[in-house]
Amino acid sequence: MTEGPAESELDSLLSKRLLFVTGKGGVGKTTVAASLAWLASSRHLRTLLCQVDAKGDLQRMFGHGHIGFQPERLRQNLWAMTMDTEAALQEYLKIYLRMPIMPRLGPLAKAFDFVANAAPGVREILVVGKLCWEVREDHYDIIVVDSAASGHVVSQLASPKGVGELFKVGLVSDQTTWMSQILSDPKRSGVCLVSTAEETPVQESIELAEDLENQTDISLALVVANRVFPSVFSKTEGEIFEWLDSNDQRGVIEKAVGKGWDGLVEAADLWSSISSMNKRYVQRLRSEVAGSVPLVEVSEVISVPAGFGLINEVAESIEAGLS
Amino acid sequence: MTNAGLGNVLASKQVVFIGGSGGVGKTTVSAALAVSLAIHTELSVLVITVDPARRLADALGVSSLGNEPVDVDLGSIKAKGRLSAAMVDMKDSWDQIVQRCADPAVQERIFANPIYQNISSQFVQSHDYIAVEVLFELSNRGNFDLIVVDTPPSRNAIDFLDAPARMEEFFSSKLLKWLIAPYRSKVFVSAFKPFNAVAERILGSDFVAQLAEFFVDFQGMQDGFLIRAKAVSELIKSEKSAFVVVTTPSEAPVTEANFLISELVERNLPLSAVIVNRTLPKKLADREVVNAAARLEESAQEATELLVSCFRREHPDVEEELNLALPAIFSRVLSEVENCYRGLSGQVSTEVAQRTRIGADRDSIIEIPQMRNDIASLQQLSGLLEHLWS
Ligand SMILES: Nc1ncnc2c1ncn2[C@@H]1O[C@H](COP(=O)(O)OP(=O)(O)OP(=O)(O)O)[C@@H](O)[C@H]1O
Ligand SMILES: Nc1ncnc2c1ncn2[C@@H]1O[C@H](COP(=O)(O)OP(=O)(O)OP(=O)(O)O)[C@@H](O)[C@H]1O
Ligand SMILES: [Mg+2]
Ligand SMILES: [Mg+2]
Repeated sequence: MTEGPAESELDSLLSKRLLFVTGKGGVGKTTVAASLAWLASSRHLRTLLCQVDAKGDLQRMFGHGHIGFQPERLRQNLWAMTMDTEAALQEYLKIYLRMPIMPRLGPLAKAFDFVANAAPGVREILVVGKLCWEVREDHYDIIVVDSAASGHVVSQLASPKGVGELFKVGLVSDQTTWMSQILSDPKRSGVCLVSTAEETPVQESIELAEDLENQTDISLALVVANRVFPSVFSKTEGEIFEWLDSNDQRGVIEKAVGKGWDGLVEAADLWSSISSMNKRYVQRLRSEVAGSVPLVEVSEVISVPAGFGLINEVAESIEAGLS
Repeated sequence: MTNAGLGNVLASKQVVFIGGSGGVGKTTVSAALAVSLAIHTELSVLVITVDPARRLADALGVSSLGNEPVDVDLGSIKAKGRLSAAMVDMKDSWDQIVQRCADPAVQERIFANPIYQNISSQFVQSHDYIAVEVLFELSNRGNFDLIVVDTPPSRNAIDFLDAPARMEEFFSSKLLKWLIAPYRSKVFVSAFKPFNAVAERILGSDFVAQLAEFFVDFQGMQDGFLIRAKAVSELIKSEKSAFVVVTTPSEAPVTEANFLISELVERNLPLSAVIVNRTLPKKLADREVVNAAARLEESAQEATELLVSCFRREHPDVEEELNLALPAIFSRVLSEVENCYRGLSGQVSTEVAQRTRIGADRDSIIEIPQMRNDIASLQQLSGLLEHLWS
């Protein structure tokens, strides 16, 4: 046999050029995006991590100072930038109209910014355009985007299509073609949908996956079920635990460990009910969102504050789940 | 710590805004607060929710409804007051604004414009604005004594406060005049030429024309619009309003909650309560429990033996295979119990630390425990804030 080892799911994920990480607010988008970028750069891929929201979460997570539009090097093979539509517009004007970069936003750019605020699709196309341009220019092997939460990302990813319909002629319209080619190519682009295993985030993920399917040409590449509480007891163990906790046995075990036993039971009880709820929702994510796309479970990481530690643990989970 | 009294403070308001960062439980808390107020006061309470989870919407009976409030059937729950619920529908709301502010001919043009058809969801972060618009509309009807307003997920928890001002700014902007000038008057003002030339080159002339047409019409609604936006701003600032900030007891949400609180203070807006949602049982930090965990760790072996012999006594006819496995099973069960405890109690210490970071009066902090399951019934909702009243 001449074939090398089969390509793992992780290899295939990281062989894409443009990965949009999205999901409901607070589910762990930034954490997962940072972890994917971490994994990619550990494999010697030149990686750009781009945050679309300027909330500063990447700075906090990497313990890094200001991260602006110009990529900052975080470590070997890993750069980070913050999307900024104003700067993207200036870059755009410079590249396509050969307009010099203005030190300050001139009246023209200001007016443009105003239009971008009001007109559907303009801001979105600038964001997606910048990212696709980086892909086309081959500056990086992979770009991981910490995207806006659910609602917004669909309009961003749909923008080349939508804008193509709205803007029949003009420079922007000309460019939607090659952008669409990049986005619609599952070898090059994909969405990584993050969700916690709870009702609302899962519900939102189901809707988001439908919207992506119906309104955009980009394909789903990965589903991450984040913050899953690992299950505690097997069936027999569960029965034994119940027996332990029945009134007759209380006295016995309290003799062994003291009155605080009921606190321990409460913890185990709470943990296992959350974990079985999580299990149900992971199942729904699997059947109603992921389908044939890989799904990884990332456990709730206990007592590790947000930062390198968390990124490392989450990256390890993803790596283990996808190999 | 007691929260009794906070219920009455909130009940004395006309509008209660529920804010906080993404996913912390704003929608759940809004519903819980409204249910709780309807139960404990004689008020007619309305909750305006933005994106309720399906089961929550079902519980409220608003799953298929839009901006129009519906009565919530409280079933067997004994309530002094009444509860209604509405769910914000962006598209409907925009259509209604246009219907109210523009004359029929203009309405028709606006509805037909492709820009408008694409705009409703994205325009100047309009979802923030729409939530307050709907509030204004419903509060003007005077059918409700108190309205609880869930706020939409946004990049910044403070965005919805600024939404009316942003709208005002947009409509009175010079740039808007620039953009539409060549389309509004027959005399092409040469000062606008460069902008329009570049805009057309980049965006295409059709698009720029449609855009301008749209704004010409939209500007016609300006007066009606500005009056409403001002009124909405006033309502937010009035003393009839109260703000409740929701957070979970972890770092990022608390940081955002503190930011929101400081913005409220800066704007002289009254913060009535901070709700810390999804707290773990404090009991896990009790001395007794800590000791029990330590003893379980030290004497796992003996505890296992003790329990196994106890189990065997009680189940003399247990299958041989299970019987042999018992020590291993018991030992695993005990060590899992200990692990769960270690995990959660670590979290409890983090929570305590995060709680002390919250920049608000201790007495105004309300806790809601982590539930074991999704919150899917009015009964469950009504229990979440029971401590506001006792
Ligand atoms: N697997 C995990 N275990 C424990 N904590 C986690 C895990 N994943 C994320 N978190 C924590 O959850 C919080 C939210 O994570 P993160 O900021 O990545 O979410 P987000 O989806 O980017 O949020 P936002 O929508 O606000 O941008 C952070 O405090 C993070 O430390
Ligand atoms: N105290 C609680 N115990 C257990 N689950 C909870 C609790 N509060 C909220 N949840 C769950 O957390 C999820 C998010 O809650 P919710 O939708 O109310 O948040 P939100 O702040 O409105 O989110 P968004 O910012 O997206 O609007 C839901 O699945 C809800 O059932
Ligand atoms: Mg984030
Ligand atoms: Mg909500």
